[in-house]
Amino acid sequence: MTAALTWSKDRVTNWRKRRVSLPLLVKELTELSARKRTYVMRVVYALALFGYSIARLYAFQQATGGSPMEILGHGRELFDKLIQIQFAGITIFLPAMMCSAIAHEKERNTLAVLFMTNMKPWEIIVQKYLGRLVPMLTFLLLSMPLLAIAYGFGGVTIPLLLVSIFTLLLACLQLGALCLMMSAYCTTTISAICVSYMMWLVMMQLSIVAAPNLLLFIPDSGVRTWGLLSLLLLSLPSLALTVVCLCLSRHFLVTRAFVPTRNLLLDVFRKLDAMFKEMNDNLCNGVELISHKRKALPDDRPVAWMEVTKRSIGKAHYLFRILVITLVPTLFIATSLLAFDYRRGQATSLASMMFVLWAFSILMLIVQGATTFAGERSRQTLDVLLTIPMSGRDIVREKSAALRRLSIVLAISLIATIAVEGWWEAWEFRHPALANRKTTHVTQAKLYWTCSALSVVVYLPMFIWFSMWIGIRARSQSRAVIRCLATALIWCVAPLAVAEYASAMLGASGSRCVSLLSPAGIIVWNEMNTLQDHGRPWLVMIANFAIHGSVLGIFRTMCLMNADRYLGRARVS
Amino acid sequence: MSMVEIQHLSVNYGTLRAVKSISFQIPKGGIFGFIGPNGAGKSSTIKVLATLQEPSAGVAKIDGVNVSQFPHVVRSQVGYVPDFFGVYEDLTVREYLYFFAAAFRLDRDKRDVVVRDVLVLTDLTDKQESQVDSLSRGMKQRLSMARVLLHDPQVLLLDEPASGLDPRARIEMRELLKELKRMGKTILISSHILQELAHLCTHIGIIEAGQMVAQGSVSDIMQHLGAMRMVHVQVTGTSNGCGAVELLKAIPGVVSVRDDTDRLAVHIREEIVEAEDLLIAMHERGIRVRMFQPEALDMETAFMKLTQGKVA
Repeated sequence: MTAALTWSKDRVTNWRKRRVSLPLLVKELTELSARKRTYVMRVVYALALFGYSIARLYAFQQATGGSPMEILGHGRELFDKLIQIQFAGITIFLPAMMCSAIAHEKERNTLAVLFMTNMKPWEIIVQKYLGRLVPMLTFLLLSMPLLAIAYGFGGVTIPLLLVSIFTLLLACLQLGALCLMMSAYCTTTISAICVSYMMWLVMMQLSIVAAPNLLLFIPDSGVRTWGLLSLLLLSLPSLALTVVCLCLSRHFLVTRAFVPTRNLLLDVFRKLDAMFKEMNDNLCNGVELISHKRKALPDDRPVAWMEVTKRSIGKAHYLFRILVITLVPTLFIATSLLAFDYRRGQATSLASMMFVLWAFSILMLIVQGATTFAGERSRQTLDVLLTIPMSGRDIVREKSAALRRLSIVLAISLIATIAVEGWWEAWEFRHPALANRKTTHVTQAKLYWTCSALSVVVYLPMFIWFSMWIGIRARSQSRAVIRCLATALIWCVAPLAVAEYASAMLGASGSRCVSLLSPAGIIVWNEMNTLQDHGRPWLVMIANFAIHGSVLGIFRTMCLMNADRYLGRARVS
Repeated sequence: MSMVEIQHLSVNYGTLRAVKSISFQIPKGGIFGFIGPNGAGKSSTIKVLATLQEPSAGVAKIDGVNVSQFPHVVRSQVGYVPDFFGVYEDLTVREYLYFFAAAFRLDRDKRDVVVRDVLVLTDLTDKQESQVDSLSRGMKQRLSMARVLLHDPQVLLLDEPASGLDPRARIEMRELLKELKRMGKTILISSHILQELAHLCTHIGIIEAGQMVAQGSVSDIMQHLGAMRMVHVQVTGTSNGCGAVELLKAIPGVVSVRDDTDRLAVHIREEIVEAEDLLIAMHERGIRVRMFQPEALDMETAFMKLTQGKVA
């Protein structure tokens, strides 16, 4: 009897062990816990959250004459900002953490090993999903003490607190599932990250489909007046999308496990080449007015030759196509927005478009710049390249040739939109209704033109050298891109945030100086026509471009001077 | 004068000591086989010579030029083939070779001739318009060899060139190396295919856990190992009734005798008693021998004897 009991007990224990064991999740969490950057990111996030809250409270105290009692009943303001920061944190960090879950296994050729185990595709998906969600949830936990403080100050109801936490969790689940799906679909981590960000931005425009938008539909009092059932019904689209994304992740995990990496842009261009060649052969008997054969073999700048003839972003006729594809819709949208703005009497829509164009241009340059050397490393071609008797400085300089061409194409799109906006400004002061504001507008137009031109001239090369400086030392493309994007984001946002929320401590001139450290500040002020609000706008503009011109010079010099060291090559002593 | 000279070279990666004060020399026209298990420090040493790694200590010289002090000079004198072949997208074999011909600053007038010659030497003429990433592994390895021959370097650094090749490609690679040997190139080659090195190399160095375990000419190493040779014997008995093991132990030069299931493993010091003399001595002592088999000494045996499977 005892033996039978022991036997059945052992069987139950073994069954439980077998059923409950989550080896992949354990491995994922062990790996994450062993990485230094897990803790660094957590500390940085905590510092940002707590630093922001302290600055906010200090500013509020200063504004209310220093009485601590005045803050009571105003916890809602801090609470709302903390929730917004959390959503921003989820949007920034989760794709970077989740997109590598399966794509990185593909890059390392280790996915086949996972398939050879007893784990079923669903188990792999769920464990990968949980493995990347847990660190994000620890990020969310960091804000709990601050949310409690905000609640303690009053103005925040318990239902609102619970609904906000629920929405944050839902956003994590939804964005996590979307990123996991793209990780299973894409062959590289970088492409998964880029597509995930774009899809998430599109989803955010689609009302209640995106979890963060739920808060817009919920009244201030939260579920108490609104009902739990309504909340659940409202969150159904987000939950359904999460489930669909997970199902598709499982599908793509199997069907796209061994799909070879392809450069889609290059494939499209090659097909276009073949089509044009066929058309040329049929219509003109193959006569070529501009031949590409002249540059068929490398001359005295072999690395530059490779960059401008073999990369999709380097070839002149490919870049011309990119220019046509981007410039025509840009101008079309710009002129449409102009008509819309004219009816409203302000140019904010066009300004918004400029922000999108700037973000797109900087993103393109950062991704391409960061992967210039990291790509060579991941393709294992860097060692051979480094044995050629060219100095590191020359290699870096020639490598930047394609980026320079790309920046010219992007600059043309930017300048075209700036020209449309400038033309609007010039046209506006001729408008009879605005005749009395002529002098102001002439000054504004001059300021706008100068500032825009300097932005294009200084910022595009600055971000090229910035991304190359980071990418040249990175071991993988995804790491290079993530580092560059994160640093660029911090660089653009942090000085402005510090200037705004620590203005009470820094004073007006201090916060103005701090905000000049951000490259984004001058673009925002210029597009929103608020540069004049800074007292001496020309001086502010000159100071800004002097700072960022120097930064450009520093990045460039560091890249060129230390190229051999960054590339891990022996240096001339 | 040595073409390659390494003195007390150390390479550290953080706290990991990958190479620990190794020294060796390769004379002009010599072929040095660098043997060692994975993680022994072979690739790190080769990378130092290829100017891709700064040494933590010690000196590495190519044709008398210090690699650390004058890497730009050394780069023109060496050809480096790594243990992997990176893929350049959208590049034909011809473009690949012209790219490196331009990178090595070959005269424009000479490029056509040089590229044609190396294509012929590596038997890739028919593949010159093929995409590099479409080539087989063996062809890619030959293309790597073609690349390093473009600037006619005196020293070739080949990091496991036969790794992952099928038998045919391996034989083709061996023939190519023989041709390079005839051309008088000084070659440092690391490999796991030990038998091939034995035929090719004039010198070998065995490295383990970052330290050089043995080095010298192939015959020197064999002789050194021969001093600890093992002889397997089967005996049916003795004519005088004594035990065979005791009689064997009494022979001068016999270090130990191990009684295996069907044979005796006799460990001898060859400088005192050679295998042939051992057989005579056994016969003189009345030992009736059914089988007498000195252990074959090939490179693999040498490698196994000298290394213990440790890594740095």
